[in-house]
Amino acid sequence: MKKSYLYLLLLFFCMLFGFMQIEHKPIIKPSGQVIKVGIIGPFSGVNKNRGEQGIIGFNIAQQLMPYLKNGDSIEWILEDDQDIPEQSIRALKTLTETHKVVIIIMLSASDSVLAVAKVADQYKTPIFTLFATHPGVTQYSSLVNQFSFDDTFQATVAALYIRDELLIDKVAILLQRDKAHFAYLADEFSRQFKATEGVITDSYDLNTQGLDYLQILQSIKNKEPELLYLPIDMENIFKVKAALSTLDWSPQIMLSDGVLASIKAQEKYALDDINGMMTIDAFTFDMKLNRLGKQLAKLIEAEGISRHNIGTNSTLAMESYALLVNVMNRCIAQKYTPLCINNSIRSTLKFEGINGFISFDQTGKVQRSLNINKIYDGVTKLIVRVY
Amino acid sequence: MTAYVHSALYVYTKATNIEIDDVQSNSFGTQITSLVFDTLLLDPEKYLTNIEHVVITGTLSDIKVIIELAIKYNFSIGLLPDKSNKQLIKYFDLPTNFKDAVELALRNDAEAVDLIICNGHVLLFNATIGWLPLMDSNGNFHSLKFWLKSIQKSLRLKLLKFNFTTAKGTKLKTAASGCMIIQRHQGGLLSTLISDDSSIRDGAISMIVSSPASIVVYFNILLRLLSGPKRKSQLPIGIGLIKSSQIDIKTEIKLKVIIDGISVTQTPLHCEALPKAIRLNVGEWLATDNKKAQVSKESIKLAYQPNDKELEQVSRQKIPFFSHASEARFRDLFISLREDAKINSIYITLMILSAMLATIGLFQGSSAVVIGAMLLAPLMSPIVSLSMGLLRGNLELLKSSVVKIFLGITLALLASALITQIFPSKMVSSEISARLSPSLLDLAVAIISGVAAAYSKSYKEIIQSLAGVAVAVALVPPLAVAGIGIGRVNLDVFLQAFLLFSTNLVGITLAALFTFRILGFSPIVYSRRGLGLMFALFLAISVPLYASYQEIVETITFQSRMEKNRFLVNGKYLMVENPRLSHSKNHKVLLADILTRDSIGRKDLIELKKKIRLNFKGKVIIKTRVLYIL
Repeated sequence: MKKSYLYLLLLFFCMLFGFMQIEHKPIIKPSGQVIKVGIIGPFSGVNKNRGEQGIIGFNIAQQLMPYLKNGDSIEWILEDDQDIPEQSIRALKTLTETHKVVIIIMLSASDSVLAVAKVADQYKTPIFTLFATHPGVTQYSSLVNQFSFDDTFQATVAALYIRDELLIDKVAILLQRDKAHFAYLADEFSRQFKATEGVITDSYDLNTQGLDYLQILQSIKNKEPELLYLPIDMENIFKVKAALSTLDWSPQIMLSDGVLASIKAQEKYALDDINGMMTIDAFTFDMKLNRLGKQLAKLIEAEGISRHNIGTNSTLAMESYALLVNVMNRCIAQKYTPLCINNSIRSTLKFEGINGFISFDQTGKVQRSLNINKIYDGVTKLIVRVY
Repeated sequence: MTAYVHSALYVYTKATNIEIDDVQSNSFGTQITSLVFDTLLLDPEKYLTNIEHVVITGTLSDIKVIIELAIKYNFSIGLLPDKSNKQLIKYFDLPTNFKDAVELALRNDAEAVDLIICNGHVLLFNATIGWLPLMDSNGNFHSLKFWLKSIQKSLRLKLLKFNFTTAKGTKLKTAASGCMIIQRHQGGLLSTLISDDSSIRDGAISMIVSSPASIVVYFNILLRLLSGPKRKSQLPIGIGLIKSSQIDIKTEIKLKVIIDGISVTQTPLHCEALPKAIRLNVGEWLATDNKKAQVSKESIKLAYQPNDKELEQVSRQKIPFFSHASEARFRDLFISLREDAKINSIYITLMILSAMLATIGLFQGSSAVVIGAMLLAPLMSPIVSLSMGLLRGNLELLKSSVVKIFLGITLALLASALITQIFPSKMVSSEISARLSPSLLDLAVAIISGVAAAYSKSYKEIIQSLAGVAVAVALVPPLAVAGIGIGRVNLDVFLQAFLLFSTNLVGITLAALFTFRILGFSPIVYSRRGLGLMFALFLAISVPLYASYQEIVETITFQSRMEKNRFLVNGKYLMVENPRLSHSKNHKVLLADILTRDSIGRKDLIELKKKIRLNFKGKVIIKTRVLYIL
């Protein structure tokens, strides 16, 4: 046997092993057919960052999967609702009646989605809400599907983690009663915590006029809670943080979801300033990526974008696009009928997302894990992952 | 007190005539007659008859012409070198300052020095025949390009047949990449090898012959040369030295001969040293050194050069990266390996005892007993012999080592099976289960152990390390587990354990084979068939091991992920601790502790199972122990 034959044999085996790692990917030829998908979100106004981040995520994911398996492509029809419920309903009407979209993705907050959910059945178009976590969004219509874990799950996990894992007995809550999302989280957390014989020392609504943060926190401090649960927005978090510094008090703090994304999307506040706080999120910076996650990370790197700048909103959008392609592929034979799309979403089982599996139940609620993270040096690190 | 010549002929060229005044108006009382070099050449007899001393300033070739004339007209020479001619200044220890150079050139104490003439050409520094990349340089290694080019040339080195005949008529045949005749040791890299052994008045020619058996050897020589003049008494392997007053060189193809940097002739080459042929004003240090010089006897140092049998095989071949060796060179090692491959009663006894001991140790779950069995087992030696047999295509060694290994395996399996029958209770200790899931990591251990085994065997000083290698690779315990499998008629146990043993066997053999090859124990024509066979076995065994390794990676990933996993089950918060994933035939089994502050019922467990199955790949059987936190 010639030595060169041996080298060739070795090379062949190496290649074989290499190819075994790569799943065969059929080449998809574009069909020229375009499927219209509507997106309602805040693309202007105070919450426009959320809408923009969502679109960034869709665009990145669309580069990875530009076509459905039959070569059809997805075209986005954007409608700005500025996170105002009335405008969201108007956008729903336009997208379904004028553009005849096959599905609507909502990047709006819970209040807008709740408003849309109440009228969704009239328009007979499935709705896929990405960021609204209020548990009520799936209650009013069989066409609304929720991609994020809901607030019941979030609040229960927060309460039980604090109670059963951190073994903390006393917690104080600061909330914003005017926001359905925050109000629900605070109430559910309080209910769960008390149900496990925990004590809520205080529960303050930060929307009260003429509020003195220093005075409130001094009053809370006097009752010696071990942890502050803060289902509040970014501005209020930093006000609380400043008051705590003045008081020289460092209790453990747990934030709700979505806060990190808001901080990342602006320049006034830095994530470093809230180092040490716990937060709830769908993802974490140090998460182990699945195949989809790795492919997207590679693409992001190739685009010259830092992973630090990709927030939860963009990541959720990327993941939801991958699921949307999967759902649409299942509805090719049915020509993307609303019924098929809606049923396909609700029958999704073990879809491999960016860092875990995603399933849906028949009520349109997602079954996915959430992460309790801690902020260290401006990035989130996983403490526990709850299923 | 220094004496100067009364008169001298100053020979200069048109390029050097600007210095004429400095020489003519010298302060040493020497009368100078100046003459243009070209004019001298027109009628040398006219200008050189009765001339006692000539001072020359010019190029190296001009100086060589004057040297040739000096032999004929018997005058002494003073050199006024150009500053750029650093080699000449260095070789003859001349001053760099022009005034000092004039002073030395006009002295009346010229030293009689030897002259080497090769095919009628004067050799002042050195002559190169063939290829000696880097070695033939004059020590100027600053350019990266030069390094890269030289290394590139080194990788393409070939050996050619050379025939040398000395003054005493000794004929030598060898294969070499090139050789270099050196007048004196100053300056060149190769000349450092003869610095103690050569002068300009020893009446001999020093010739270095480079016969690297491999690229590795060639680079070893270079390293030795570059590391400075150490242990000059012992020449590096691959380097030969011939000293004789006359050397004839013949090569199988005509080769250019580069004398003092210029290609002037080709082989066949006849070089002879003309003792004290010229008188030259040289520097003080060289003059002192020269006075101590004694006439050299003819000497030949050609150890480690290819012999007659090997000549035909290596000639005109590109030298291999690693060395080859004849059996004669490593006689002790081969004798020892042959002994290791022979079956004797000690081997049989130890093999049976070690397998029995290992089996009992495995039943006990006692690491100490199992390690004792590993130390007792004599399996490593025939495996190392097998490697050498395969490498050299030595059928006798191959057959005897294979038979010995086969006998050892059979005895070990039988002994273990017998012990299993004597102790029929089917206990499975951690020591047994540890040997039921071989993976690529085991192959890695076997490979490293194989390298260590061959290395320890190759050097008597570290032979005792072989015991450590035996422990690391643990040959007998997997055999004992395979024997337990036979004893219990459990094919699965037998196959898994035997796969581990085969992994060790193939890994060690292949690694030892390559180690021997790298260490230079392979013959010139090594056994490609044997190598191919082992390689095929290696690849074949890698496939199940790769799958098994993937399983280990999956287990570790799963377990580390699980450590941070919590489950919200029917409103109850469950924490996972100590997750252990094991793989059974068709399913995975997850063993874990569940910590909670709520009571858990059957419904909760079903929900937990559902959640785990929904979030992890594959079918998992879950077994948990519930611990309550108070």
